[in-house]
Amino acid sequence: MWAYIVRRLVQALFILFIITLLTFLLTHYSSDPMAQYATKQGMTAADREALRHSLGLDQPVFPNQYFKWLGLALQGNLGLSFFSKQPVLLMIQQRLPMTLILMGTAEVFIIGISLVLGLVAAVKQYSFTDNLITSLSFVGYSMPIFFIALGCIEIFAVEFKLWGLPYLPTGADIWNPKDPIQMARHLVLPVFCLVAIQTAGYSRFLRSSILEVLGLDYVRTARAKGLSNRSVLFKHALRNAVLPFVTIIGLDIPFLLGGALVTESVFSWPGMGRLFWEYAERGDYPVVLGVLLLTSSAVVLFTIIVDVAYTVVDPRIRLD
Amino acid sequence: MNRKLYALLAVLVLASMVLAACGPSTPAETAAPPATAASSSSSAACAPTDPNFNPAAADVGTKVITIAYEQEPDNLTGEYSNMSFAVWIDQIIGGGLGKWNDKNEFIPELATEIPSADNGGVSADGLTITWHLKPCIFWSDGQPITSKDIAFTWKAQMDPGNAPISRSGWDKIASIDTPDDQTAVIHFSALYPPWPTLFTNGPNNGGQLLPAHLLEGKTGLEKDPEIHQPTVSAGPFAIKEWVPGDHLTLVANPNYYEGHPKLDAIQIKFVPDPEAGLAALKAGDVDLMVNLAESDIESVKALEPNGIHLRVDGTPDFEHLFFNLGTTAGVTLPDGTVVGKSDVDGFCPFKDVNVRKAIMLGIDRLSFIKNYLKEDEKAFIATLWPNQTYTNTSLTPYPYDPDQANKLLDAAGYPVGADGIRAGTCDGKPVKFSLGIETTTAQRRVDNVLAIQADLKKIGIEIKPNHIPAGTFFGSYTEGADMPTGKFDMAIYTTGFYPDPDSSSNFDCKDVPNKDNPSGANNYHLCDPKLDAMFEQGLASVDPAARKVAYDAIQQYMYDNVLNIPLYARANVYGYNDRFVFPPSSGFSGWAWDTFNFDVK
Repeated sequence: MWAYIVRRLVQALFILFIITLLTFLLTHYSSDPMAQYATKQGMTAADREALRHSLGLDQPVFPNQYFKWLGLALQGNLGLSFFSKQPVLLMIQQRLPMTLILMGTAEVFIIGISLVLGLVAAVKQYSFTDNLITSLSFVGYSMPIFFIALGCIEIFAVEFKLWGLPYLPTGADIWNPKDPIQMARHLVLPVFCLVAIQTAGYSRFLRSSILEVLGLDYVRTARAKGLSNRSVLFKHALRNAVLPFVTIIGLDIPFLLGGALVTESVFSWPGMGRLFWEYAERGDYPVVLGVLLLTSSAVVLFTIIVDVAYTVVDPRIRLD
Repeated sequence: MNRKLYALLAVLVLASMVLAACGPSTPAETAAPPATAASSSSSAACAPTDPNFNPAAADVGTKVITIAYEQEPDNLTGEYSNMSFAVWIDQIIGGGLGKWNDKNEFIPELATEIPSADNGGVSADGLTITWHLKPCIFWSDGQPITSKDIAFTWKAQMDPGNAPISRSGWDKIASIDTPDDQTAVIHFSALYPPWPTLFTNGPNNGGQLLPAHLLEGKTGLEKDPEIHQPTVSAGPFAIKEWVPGDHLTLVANPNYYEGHPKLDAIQIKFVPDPEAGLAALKAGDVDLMVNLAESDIESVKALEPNGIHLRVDGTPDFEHLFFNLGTTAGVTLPDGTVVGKSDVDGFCPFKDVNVRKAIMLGIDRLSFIKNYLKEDEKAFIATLWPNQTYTNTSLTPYPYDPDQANKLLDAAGYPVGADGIRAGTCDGKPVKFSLGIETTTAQRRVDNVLAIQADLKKIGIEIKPNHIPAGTFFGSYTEGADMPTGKFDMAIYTTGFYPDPDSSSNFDCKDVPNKDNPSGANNYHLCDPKLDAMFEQGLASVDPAARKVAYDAIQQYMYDNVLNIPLYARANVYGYNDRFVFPPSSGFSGWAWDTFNFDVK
């Protein structure tokens, strides 16, 4: 197994190289950092040349600019932002905790609610409850998250306040993240939106998975042995049904690091998604590459972890 | 019993009144602004109000407002940032020698007066400018602000070890003498009429004074934490904290020369877009939303029942449509030299002033301003220098006259073809009036181009819109962007020539971008030696009256020759709530020029 892990890690390095290279080129050709200064009055041609030189943009894009960045990245230095001149690593460290709080909380609710809804829908197949869950899932799945988010703000933050009811914050107020009560209040709406969207897909997936398992011979055998429904469901069916669900969650976890751009934007959440977007728009590729390197490294790493975890969960799988 | 009790209570009340009268003043009285140290001429009284002030540890207080900010600044020092959002903060925390007020007048800030020929501040040859600092003024940490800070600011700008965004103007300074702590004598190596833009804050200015006592001896200032987030301030507020991606807290600077500002603190909340900001304004989470677009005017008006007010201020910024007037041949000067070569020829018929005039007359700009922008007629402009003292007020905007436009195009030799599109020959080559308009993806520009497209179709001109993300549209020559490489027919964007009217680098022959001059800023690709000479005239004197004559002539020349089409003057649009007392804004400096007088009811 160790040989497999080492082989996968070597492959991962190659994949990361390709990802960073493609990202670098895409960022470079989609936005020019010098565009910020195009209409700046009083700036001379000499000023622009000096600025291009100080940012290293007068060097050939490939290989010079890319390999300079890569060389620093391999030493753990993600460089400086073109605009803030702050170390990219520091900028990521400042935003990552807030993203993990938002996404982590949402993920816990998504998993928990999906499990319950998927299970109920599967057990009560074609019942009114199943149809209701299915309908709501489709509504949630097909709804754009910005629509839900803006709607929630309008109702629960703006109108509730105007009506004199207890209300939730829009996210645009000044609050102290170190205060757990304030943190909880500010998490309600963005987490609700993320859960509303993502639970739909997860619960449908789990419903199908449970229904498939419930039709298998070993479940029928368990029932024939006279085991209770509860025992059949929780001890026999569910354990197998959630295996693919666990795989999906495992692959989703690294994406938590990248944040949720739309949700973070609507609720003014200072997370990684907004950091990425704000700097991508300006062509600040050190920041863009730093965020993507972190996310893609996590994806690659978690893919390996999930593969290895398979061998633990299912002894029939041999990685060698 | 009751009578005894009442008597005891009366005695207690009387006693407490006597004690209160003998004790310290009430909180309301202590909250009144303290007398400024600067107001005293006595050297004994020349001391900062709080010599140990540390904004990071300061109390936020009770009189606080929150401002919604759509973009987070990259750093908070004007010399090192090109973001308006950064420059506004810089105006709050930074100190300049002068600033522009709500009437766009240049008034003293840290200086006692604006140098002029009359007060001896401007030498007869215009090459020496003498500034006098107010006596007894301090940085927020209690250190004195002196002429050494002025000299240091210039040296830091010119230090090759630093990377400010511009050295323009700073490089015209030969030396700065500091005969005493209050006086700085600035010697220019060449006449530099835009000298007021140096050592001053604002969107198109050189930047604030830098604290020599903290930065002297350092290089690589662009990366210095003190530049990114200054710990000292010369303005009415200082930075308490900056939580990246979330908010910025500015607290009153007790050592500001005018004393304690009316507010205790200003919170800047970073919101991702106007919608989020307006929702927060409606909910009462923020008190002021800045940098709204003209397209938001109706949205803010709709919030009036919620106690939200709209302010729309005309600005010297303008949205304009312009022609690619580039020629690959360039222009041959009398001495035989060729200047202003472009990589690509513009659309040949644009060389004819009557074609340009026809396009001007064929666009119903006023209807667009009223229908789409919901703006009033003051945005309908004739020149690229609107809403400022240099505006040539004798010019009136060209009217919408499609009949006249058709006649001009017919007379120019471009009849309407069977497909409804004009065609003909220009310089012996066939041409067809099927033209591109290139601009960004901003919604107002999508609306602009759609309206122009409909108007010009009526005079036989087909428009093919080309909307490009701003990061690419405004890209540089070396990246192959269309503006500098000249690969466009017509284009639209916003800019503004202020607080100094000089914009020669946008129009000069030597600034036409090409492979030998990739950083040239002349996106019009226009090379007209006569216009170059007129701009030189604008820079030939430091006397504002003489310059006004020169810029009036430039505007008249551009107007007569229809070198571009001013679409409308841009507006600063604000939404603010009932509790916020919002002093008048400045066209040149925006909303942040007078935060000392920001208040709450």
